[in-house]
Amino acid sequence: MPTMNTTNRETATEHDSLECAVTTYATTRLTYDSVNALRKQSDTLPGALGNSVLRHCDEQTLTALVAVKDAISRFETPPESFKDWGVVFSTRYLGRTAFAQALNKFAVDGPWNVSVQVVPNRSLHSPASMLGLALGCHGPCVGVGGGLDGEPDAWLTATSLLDQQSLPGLWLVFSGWEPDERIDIEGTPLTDTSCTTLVLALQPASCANPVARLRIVYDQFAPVALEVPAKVTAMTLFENFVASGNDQHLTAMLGGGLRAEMNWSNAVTSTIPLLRPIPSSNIKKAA
Amino acid sequence: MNKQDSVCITGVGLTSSIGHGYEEFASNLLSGVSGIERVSAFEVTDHPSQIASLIGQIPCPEGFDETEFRSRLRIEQCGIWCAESALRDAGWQKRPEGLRIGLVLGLGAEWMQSWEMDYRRGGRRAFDPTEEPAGLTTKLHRLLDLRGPQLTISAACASGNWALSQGRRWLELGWVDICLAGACDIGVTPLSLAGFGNLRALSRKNQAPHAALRPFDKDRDGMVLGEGGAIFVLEKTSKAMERGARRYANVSGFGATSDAHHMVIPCPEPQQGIAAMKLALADAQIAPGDIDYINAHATGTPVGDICEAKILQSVLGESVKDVPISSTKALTGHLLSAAAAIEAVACLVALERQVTPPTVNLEDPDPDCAMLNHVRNEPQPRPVDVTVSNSFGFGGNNTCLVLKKAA
Repeated sequence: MPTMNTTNRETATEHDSLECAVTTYATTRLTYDSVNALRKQSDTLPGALGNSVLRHCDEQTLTALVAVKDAISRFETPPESFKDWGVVFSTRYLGRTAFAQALNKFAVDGPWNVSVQVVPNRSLHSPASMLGLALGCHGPCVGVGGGLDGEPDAWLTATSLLDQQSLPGLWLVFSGWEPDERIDIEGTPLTDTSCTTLVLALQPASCANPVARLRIVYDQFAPVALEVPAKVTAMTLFENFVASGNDQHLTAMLGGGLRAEMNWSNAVTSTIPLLRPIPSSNIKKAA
Repeated sequence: MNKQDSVCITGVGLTSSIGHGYEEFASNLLSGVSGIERVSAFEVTDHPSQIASLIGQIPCPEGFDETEFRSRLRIEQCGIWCAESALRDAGWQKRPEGLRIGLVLGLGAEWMQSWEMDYRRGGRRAFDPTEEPAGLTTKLHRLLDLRGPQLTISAACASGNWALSQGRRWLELGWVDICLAGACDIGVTPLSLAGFGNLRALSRKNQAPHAALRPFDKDRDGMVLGEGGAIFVLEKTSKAMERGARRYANVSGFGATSDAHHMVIPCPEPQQGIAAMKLALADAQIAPGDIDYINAHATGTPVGDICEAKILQSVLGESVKDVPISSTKALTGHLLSAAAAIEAVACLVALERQVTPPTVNLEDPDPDCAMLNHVRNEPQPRPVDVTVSNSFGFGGNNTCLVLKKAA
C-alpha cells in the first residue's frame, strides 16, 4: 500500500490490519416504478428466483440483484461459482413501504390480514439471505447497519469475515433510497426517489488483478465517534469519488479509531472522507 | 492463540421474562420457572397466538435519570440496561480515559419495531423519515461514551452468536481493549405477533401458556415469542486475569453457514447446519465427545426441531447418546434476534453451576428426535467444561458457538 501524506497518518501507530482485493463492482439507481417492475422479471435477474418470490422482496433487495448481475458481468476472472461465498449487506430503513402498508392493514382489518411475508423479507438479515439464495452462497450471509450510520459496519464486517473464515469471496452491498422515502399510508411515495445500490466483490488479498485493494487499519489519530453522514447513499459517494478523475485513493473513517483505505490505482493523490469526525461537544447532545 | 490470549466473558447484563440479572435468571432457569403468559400489553383476542414471554418493566440502571429512561423506546431501555449492567458486572463502571470499548449488537428488526412503537404513540416516523434518529447501537455508543468501533449485525435468530463472534475477532485484531457484544429484541408487538401467528409458526395453546412451548415433544405446535436481551463484556484472558476479573467462560469457537434454500423454511437436507457446527468445533479445537452440554435452537416448531435433531445426530455420531441436550426456549420463549444471546447465558449457567438446564414440557419425545440425550424437565448435575449453542434463523442462517469453562 502507498503511504499516506497527512501528518496524522505519518505518525499513526498501526495495529493489525486487514487487507483484501476488490475484484469487481457495480452501481445501480432505479426509480420506484422501475424497481417494482422487476418483480415480474425474475428470468432477467440472478438465480431466477421466480416472480412469486420477487413479489415479496424488498425494493433494496431487488436493486441489489440488478447491481450484482452487472458486477458479475464485469469480473476479470469470474469465479466458477459463488457456492462458498458470503454476503454482507448494509441497508437503510429497510421495508418502510411494506411496513406502512402492514400498519394500515392491521388498523383496518386486524391481525388476520397481516402479511406473513413482512418479517421474513424486511428484517435486517433478509436482503443478504435473499442474495445468498439467488447466488447459491453457503458462506455467511448477514445484514448490518440499518440506518444512516450503518455503512462503516459493512466495511468492518466484510473485511474481518474474509480474513477469518477462509472464504473465497464475499459480496459487500450498500443500499438505500435517495432521498429517503416519504410515503402515504398506502406506502406510495410522495416525492421522487431512487433506490440505489453499490456492490463490491471482495476476495483475499492474494487475488491476482484486482480492480482495487482495500485495507482496514487501526489509527490512533482516526476519530472514535462519527457524525451521522449526509443523507446521500454510499452509491452517490462512490460515484462522486469515481467522477473526481485522478483521485484514486479513497479513505473512509469507520469510527473506533479505524479507517478504510481503498486504492483504485497506483496513484495516491488525495483522500475523500466519507464520514467526518463528530465534535465531542455534540456527542452527548446527540445521544 | 494460546490460553493466555483467549477471549473470555467477564460481565453479563440481561433482561428476560425469567430475570433481569444473571443470578435471578440462573435460579429461575434451573427451577423451571416459565416466563410465558397471556399477552396483556395490547389486545390479543383476535390473534391466533395470544401468549408470549414478556419482560415487564425494564430496570433503570443506577445513575440514570428514571424519567428520561422511561421516555425511551423499550428497545433502547433494553440495550441500555443490558450494556450498563454488563459493564458494572465486569467491574468497568469507572473506566480509564482512552479505554477502547467496542460495541457489537445483534438487532434484527430495529426500525420496524421502532416505527410500530412510534405509530402506537401517535407518531409518523414510519411514513416520514425526516426526523429519523440514530440507530440504537449509535445511541448506546454515545450514551456510554465508548471509544471503540461499533456494529449492528443481523443473521435473524442467530444474531447473538454473530455478535459474540465479531466481538472476539475485534479483540484478536487488537482493535479494542474490551468489547460489549450481545443482542436485544423487543419483538412482541401487535404486528409481529400477527405476522408470526399467520405464518403458523406460533403455538396456539393459548389456554396453557406454561405448557405451550414444547421443544422436541410430539405434541409441539410452534414457538412462543419472547422479548429481552443479553450483552456480554469480552476481554482478553490475560488482561482479565491481570485485574482479577471474574471469568465466566472463554468464547472458544464459532461457525456459520447459509442454507441458500428458502427465506423461512429450514433446508430438509441438513448439510449446512452440520457444516456450521463442524466449523465451530474445529475453531474450538474440540471433538464431539468433548462436549458436555448443547443448548439446542429447538423452537418447538414441527419442522425445525426434526431438522436440528438430524444435524445433531450427524455431528455427534456415537456421542449422540451421551451429550446432554436441551432447549431453554420452553422457559424463556423465543427471543428472535436475541435468542442466541440469552441462550449463551444459559450455557454460562451450565458452566458455572455444573449442571445442565432442562427442556421443560418434554413429556413424550418426538420419535424423530428420540435419538438425542434429552435433559428432560429437571436439571442434571454433571461436570460441564464445554458447552455448545446452536442458533439457526430465517433466511437459512446457521450458527454454532462454543463456550469453554475459564481455566
